[in-house]
Amino acid sequence: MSDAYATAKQPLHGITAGDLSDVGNIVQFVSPDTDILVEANYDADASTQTGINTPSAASGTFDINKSFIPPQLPLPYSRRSFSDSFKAIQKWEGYVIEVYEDTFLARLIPIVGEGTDQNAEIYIEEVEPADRVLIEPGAVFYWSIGYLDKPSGRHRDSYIRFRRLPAWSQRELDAAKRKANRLKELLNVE
Amino acid sequence: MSVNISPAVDELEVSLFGPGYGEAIALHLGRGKWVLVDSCIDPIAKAPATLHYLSHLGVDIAQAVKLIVATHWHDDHVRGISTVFQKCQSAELVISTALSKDKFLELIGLYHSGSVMQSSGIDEFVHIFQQLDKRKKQGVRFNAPKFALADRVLFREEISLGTTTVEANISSLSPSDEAVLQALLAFERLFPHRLESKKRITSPSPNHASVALWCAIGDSRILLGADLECTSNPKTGWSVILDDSSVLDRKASVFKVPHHGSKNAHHDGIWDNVLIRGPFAILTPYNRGSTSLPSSNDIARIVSLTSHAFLTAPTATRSTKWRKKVVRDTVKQATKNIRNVHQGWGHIRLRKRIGYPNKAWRVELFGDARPL
Repeated sequence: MSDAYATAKQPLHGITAGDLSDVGNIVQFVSPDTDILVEANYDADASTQTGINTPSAASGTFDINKSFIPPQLPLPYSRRSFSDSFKAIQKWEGYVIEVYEDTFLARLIPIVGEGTDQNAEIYIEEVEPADRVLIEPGAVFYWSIGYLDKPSGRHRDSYIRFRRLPAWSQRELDAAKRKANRLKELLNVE
Repeated sequence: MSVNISPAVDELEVSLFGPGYGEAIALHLGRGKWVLVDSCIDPIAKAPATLHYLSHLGVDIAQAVKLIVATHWHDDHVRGISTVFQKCQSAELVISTALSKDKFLELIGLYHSGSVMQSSGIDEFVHIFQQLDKRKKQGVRFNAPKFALADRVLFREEISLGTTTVEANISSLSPSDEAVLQALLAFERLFPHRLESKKRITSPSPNHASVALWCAIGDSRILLGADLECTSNPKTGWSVILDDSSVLDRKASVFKVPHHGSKNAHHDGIWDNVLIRGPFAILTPYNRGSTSLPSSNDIARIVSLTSHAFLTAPTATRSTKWRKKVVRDTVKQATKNIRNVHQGWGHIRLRKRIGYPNKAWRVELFGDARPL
């Protein structure tokens, strides 16, 4: 299981500038030793060296979440290459409320663009095939609509990317029980 | 008609706020004493609706609010309630007994870092408990919360109105012992297993832990139904209240209709035995995907039972009119339907002189509030 833990400050592969802007300060990358998808917090303002070895990524630091990453999660298919540039016009953070046969109900909270919170029933086919296994109540995703500039010209693009969050560790579950015991003392309950 | 006019010393008030997803109540007991039930965010002020309203009335929030009740932990009933608790420094806090049990507290312990996605109802309780902890350590204004259970008195006070004195009693009608047990089983199912992927916590239904309130102020009775529903188990929901409650001493003239008027929360026995004929029925909408509450059938049922029914805002029919064509076209293609969560913002205010049983309630509607 130790293979599934990422090491901080190591060279990181698989990040593109598009990926960075897609998910705000959360980035996903492949641990070079394990080929396992890892999620990290990205601080673009930090002055320290990054270790990113992709040509288009900005400088910054990564605070890697060392939690165990379920190895069964497939990697997302990426339609963008290093030379592509995606400009989001509208972007939401969303979470799944219910899943139906060919759609899922989600709450959308705008991050970029216009509008207020929306409830949307989104077609599952809009989600990249590799991400569809992640569609379940409570799953968090980002939906971006915008333009993709390629060497061949500008194209409309829309993509929904689910966050691959780390799994709960036994340590976290045990810590929750200890926290609950402290709360019981606070509330004066048996 | 101005929203900023305070109730008279001897005037009872029930104010219900609702934006389309969310609900909050402010109750004036007389002589400037207030009770706040649940919380939602005023979309214009971007602050807890009840606090914003009381500050407009010039109420000293730190002193005048005596009780805060969180009827349950779902997002639409607790948004901003930790801020309400922080500002109302003299108020006692009431939460459902089910929320004092191990399994809910373990969920709090698990999600306290807010690492998944903010804005779940759990976050509000995390912040409340953090404030409680701080107050306890500082040794100031610390009162352990009260836990609501069927037939439990939560607040009792004699209120002087000049020449007369009236008694104000607020009791919880739920959850029943059986409902607490069912709620704990639901919390157990929400607790993740080791190696399970993290995700945002979801809100299970039915909500067994919900706290319905019976408010007895002088000769007036008010039933605040929270999100309490009926289930197939007669020892839970409205059935057990009708069978076992000992605090329903006379009929109520105001009813905050439970669970946004849904069929699941309707019980004929409540309308027949607990409410006066043709009571003032007030409710908030709930917009969730293609289904919105109250439905047209719910509205037909409620208006057949009373001609004094009011809703804080319309139910969902609209989506944002996207200005950019690329967004408009893509949204249309990718979604089966999409609707604004908040369809408006409204406030229903009922006022009545205390000690005048024959005086009718005066209804005022603000914002998008409307007769049903």
